Amino acid sequence: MLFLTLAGNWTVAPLGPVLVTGESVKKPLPATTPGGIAVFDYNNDGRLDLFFPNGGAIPTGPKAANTLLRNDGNFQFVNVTAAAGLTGRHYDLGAAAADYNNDGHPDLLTLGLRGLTLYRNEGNGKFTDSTVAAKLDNLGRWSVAAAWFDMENDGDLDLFVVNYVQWNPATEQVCLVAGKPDFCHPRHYAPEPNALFRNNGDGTFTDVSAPSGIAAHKGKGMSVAAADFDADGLIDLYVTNDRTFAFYFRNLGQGKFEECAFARGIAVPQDGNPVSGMGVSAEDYDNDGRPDLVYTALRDETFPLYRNLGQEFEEATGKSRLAPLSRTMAGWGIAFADLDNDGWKDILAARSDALSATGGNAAKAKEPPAWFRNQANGTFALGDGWAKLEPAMYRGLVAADLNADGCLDVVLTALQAPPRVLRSPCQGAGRWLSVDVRELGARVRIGTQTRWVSSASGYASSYLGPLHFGLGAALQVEVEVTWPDGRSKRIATATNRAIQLKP
Amino acid sequence: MRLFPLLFLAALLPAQEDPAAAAARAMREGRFADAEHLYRGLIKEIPNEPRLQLNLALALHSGKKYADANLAFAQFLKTNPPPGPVHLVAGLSLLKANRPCDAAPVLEKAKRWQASEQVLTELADAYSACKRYPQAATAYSEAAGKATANAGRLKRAAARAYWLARDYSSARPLFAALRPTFSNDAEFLYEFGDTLARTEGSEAGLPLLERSVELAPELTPARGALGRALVEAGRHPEAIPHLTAAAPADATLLMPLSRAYKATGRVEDAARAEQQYRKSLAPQN
Repeated sequence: MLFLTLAGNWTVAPLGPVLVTGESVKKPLPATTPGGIAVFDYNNDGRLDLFFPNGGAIPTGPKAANTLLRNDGNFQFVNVTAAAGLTGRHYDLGAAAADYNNDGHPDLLTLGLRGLTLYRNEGNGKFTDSTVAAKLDNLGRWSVAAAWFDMENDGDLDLFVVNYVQWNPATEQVCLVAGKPDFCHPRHYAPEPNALFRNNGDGTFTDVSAPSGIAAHKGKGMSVAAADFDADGLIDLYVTNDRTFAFYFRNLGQGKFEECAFARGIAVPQDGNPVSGMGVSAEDYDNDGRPDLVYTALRDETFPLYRNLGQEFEEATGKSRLAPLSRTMAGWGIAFADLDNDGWKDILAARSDALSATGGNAAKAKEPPAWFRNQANGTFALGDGWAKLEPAMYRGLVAADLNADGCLDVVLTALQAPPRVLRSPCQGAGRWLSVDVRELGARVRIGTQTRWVSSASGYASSYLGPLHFGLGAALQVEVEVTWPDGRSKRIATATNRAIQLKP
Repeated sequence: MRLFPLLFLAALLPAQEDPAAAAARAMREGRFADAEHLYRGLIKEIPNEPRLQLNLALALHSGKKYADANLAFAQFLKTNPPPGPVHLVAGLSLLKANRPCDAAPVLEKAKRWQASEQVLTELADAYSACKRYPQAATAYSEAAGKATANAGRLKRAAARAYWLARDYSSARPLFAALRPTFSNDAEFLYEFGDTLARTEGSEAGLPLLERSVELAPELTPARGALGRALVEAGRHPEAIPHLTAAAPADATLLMPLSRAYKATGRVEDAARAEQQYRKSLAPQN
């Protein structure tokens, strides 16, 4: 793999085939939405592998093959898509990895224009399409992202699916931006409800969207973050919507959810301007033990940041300096991640406009990705090194330590371009610990830092792997894990290593 | 000011027979309705003579019959497409007919003929009226670069266009350079204050927004921006009257108003404002 050096000693290299969007002169809306990523260890060899869903022709025509890259270590990746049976059948946008059948092998869900595909991991390097057998039916809706989570703490993973809008190629309009054909504004499309599927524990699912209360709320969903935001022991869901109010589905238990984004202060930024909510990340950026929220939006909308105060949230976009820093940016994928291992999570964003790179806003459509350094005082500053990365139509972003050197690398997708990996310079970074607890919803505490295991990541993406902690100069730390069923474990360990903990 | 090039163009076209001479004379003497009548008569006799079509267009434009002039210019330019001065007049005529989005491409051709201050200014006006603010900002900036007397006015227009285009990082240095000239202009202070609040944080914009509202309390968008900045700065009681005044014209302000009420313990008012906000901003489809 050939890496090119950037400023700040970050290096970049292309990965795998081009992300095919199906964009044409008619500018069909789906063509601006691909680009999810799944980072997970599909073969349980201890190295994180990469999966890229792919699009194809719109409205009909050949599908571009999805890509599974096996990580053979030292940034050597081998395309094993065909052997794994993951080439795909539909126009796919997003992916979500999790072991839904508790067999120890992470499975994979793809999301797309014409529905879901659930791939069961057979544990021998092959996956089987088990969508029908699992009775997983999203009614043909255009889905973008998903979160696997155990909504009732009953030991198996349920599935929340984010649906976008109603789209019909026969009635698709051509919209003009600065006199040129371009993608239409989301207001031209009717909203859709999201979907919730309960895991029956026997390899099948039941659609509980209506009885759970989820289906009562129609939006234009783009991404989801799953975390126990109100510390009641149940995983809640935050859904960003495109140009309309975000949803906060508070988990009431017994399979019921209450949408209360306005009451919690996270439906819309405090200036009252609804934004184009794109990717979302939920992590504790201020090390107060509660998961906070940040999401990407388009130019002049800023990337809203919310501090979790316990029962409600406080918008911190302005006081954190993220408002002026992100004002000129349009973003998609996003992640809280401690790039410099100083014990404070930074913010990473994949950037580009929602409009076409060949439309009326072409001159400004492509942007380089950006990261914002957490200054450990509630504010962020623009991080070094990424501004010189080639501008592109970046979409997906996942941070992961791909070479197990203790520093987070970054995987990015971009429309009509191959995915790429940004390798961390890992120079002068602090010490670290990689904690693998293998159970979604588990909480891990080290000192003042708290993280939750969740496979939903950023925009249309998924990360299923060990939790990375930057630890500054700490040589020894105490790690406390609490699993969703209430069991917990506390151990002391030296840093700069990877550990695995089981209940 | 704009009649001169029209008369000049008309004079360039020599009359070849009496009605034509009479029409040209009518133009020179400002009898545009007579000129129109004569040219229409001539066109009936010689329908394929483009110069007559142009003269008719000029007569109509000078007589302020812009809708008819637009048709006549379009007819002439169909057979004479190379960029030239007629594109400028045709563009002006479209602007006068309140068709700025149609004027823009015609004036773009005029710019290819001559990127003068006048052409660039008219083009910028067309872009601006057509809400193509990024292009307007660029054109005003180019015009300012060529201007002598109007440079300040054009820079102000460029700053405003950048601001309307939400390109605050481009607007900010222009506003900063113009501040000494416009220090008592409420609209300028509103736009610059809003720019600073967005690019540097609410504290940076507050002094200008406060001054703007002091100068022009009736400027409700400025009061809205001030209210938002005050909420952001945690000065909730001060924000409430400004947001209350501005919210009827901008429903998005109901949200910061709700937050300001909530922060000051007015829970019922907060709930009412939030309900109004949700009703006003809910997606229609």
